[in-house]
Amino acid sequence: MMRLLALLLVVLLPSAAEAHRLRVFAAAEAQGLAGHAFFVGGGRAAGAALTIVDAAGAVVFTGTTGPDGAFRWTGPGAGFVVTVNAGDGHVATARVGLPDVAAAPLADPLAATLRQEIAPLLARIDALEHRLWFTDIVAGVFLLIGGAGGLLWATGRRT
Amino acid sequence: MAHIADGILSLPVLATGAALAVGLSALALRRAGDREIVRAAVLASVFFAGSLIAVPVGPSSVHLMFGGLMGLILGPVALPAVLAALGLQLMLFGFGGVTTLGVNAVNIALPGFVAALALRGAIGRAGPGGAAVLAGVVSALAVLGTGGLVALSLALSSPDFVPAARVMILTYLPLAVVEAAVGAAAAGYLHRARPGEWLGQRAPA
Repeated sequence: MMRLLALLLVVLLPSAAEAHRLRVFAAAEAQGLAGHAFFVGGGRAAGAALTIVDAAGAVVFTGTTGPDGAFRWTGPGAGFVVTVNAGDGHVATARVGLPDVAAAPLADPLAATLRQEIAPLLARIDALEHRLWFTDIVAGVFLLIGGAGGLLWATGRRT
Repeated sequence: MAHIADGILSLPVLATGAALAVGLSALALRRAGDREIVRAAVLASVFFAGSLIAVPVGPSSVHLMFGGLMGLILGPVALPAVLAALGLQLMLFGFGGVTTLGVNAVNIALPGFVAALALRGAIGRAGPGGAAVLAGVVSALAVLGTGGLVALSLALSSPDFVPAARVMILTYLPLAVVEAAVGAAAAGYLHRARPGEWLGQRAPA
């Protein structure tokens, strides 16, 4: 059993960069917004249902993400909520420019350029914040084993 | 896939799932001996780490669940094991949701337990090859059962999910084949390494 477990861990852990939580990243553009939907640590969510709601709560766009999970929408406004639904219980939302970013700075060419320049950085930070850390995985495994040990100790029995 | 997030399921579905998870876990743990607790921790670790590896399939992504294997080795203790592992995945990675913890644990653990219960006697009597094949069948049934329960949870919560739930069951079919292979390989190994002990039975003293 332990050999099997060790084998499983060796096989599974180094490749454990893939995982299971839907996230949507969206950034404002000069007109509208763009972003992508992804599963934490790995694959993009292709063809997932996409809804964009503006600051007033009106639905301004419904559609699906592209083959690479990306989407781009052009239209007026300054605050949006983007919702992506993979259809099987995975739903993610992102807020863009709500409510502190007013429409005026967006029209400013310098602000628009800045926004464009930092968009990849924001995407990178979002991806870093939502990846699986090896230390967390190891911690989880040992929390489970330690929890069982604690339970055995608390019940005062010997194995 | 089986990690349903917060804010999707309706209250009756959430409440039923939570009540089932807590009640059945308490029953299972009360009856569990020391060996079961140690086994549960080992398999919960396997489930915890193994189910982190997901492969994108269309708009969704799938991962191994080891439901059949846990049902065979742990019996009813599979439920608290899954509950603990899902709780940690939620705490450490934000997978699933707080309110859906019970529903998700029941969806993953219950079909494996039921399938294992049904075929356990036959596996106990079978030779090494037969036991591996039957364990593969249990694993496949567990995956399909989980797919069915996830679809049912979504369909009961909102009729909007019915077409999506139908599509989702199709993504479970390839997963069932892979799980069957993993379950059969593990059972074949256990049958040789721990004959007479791995089906939740105590070793002959």
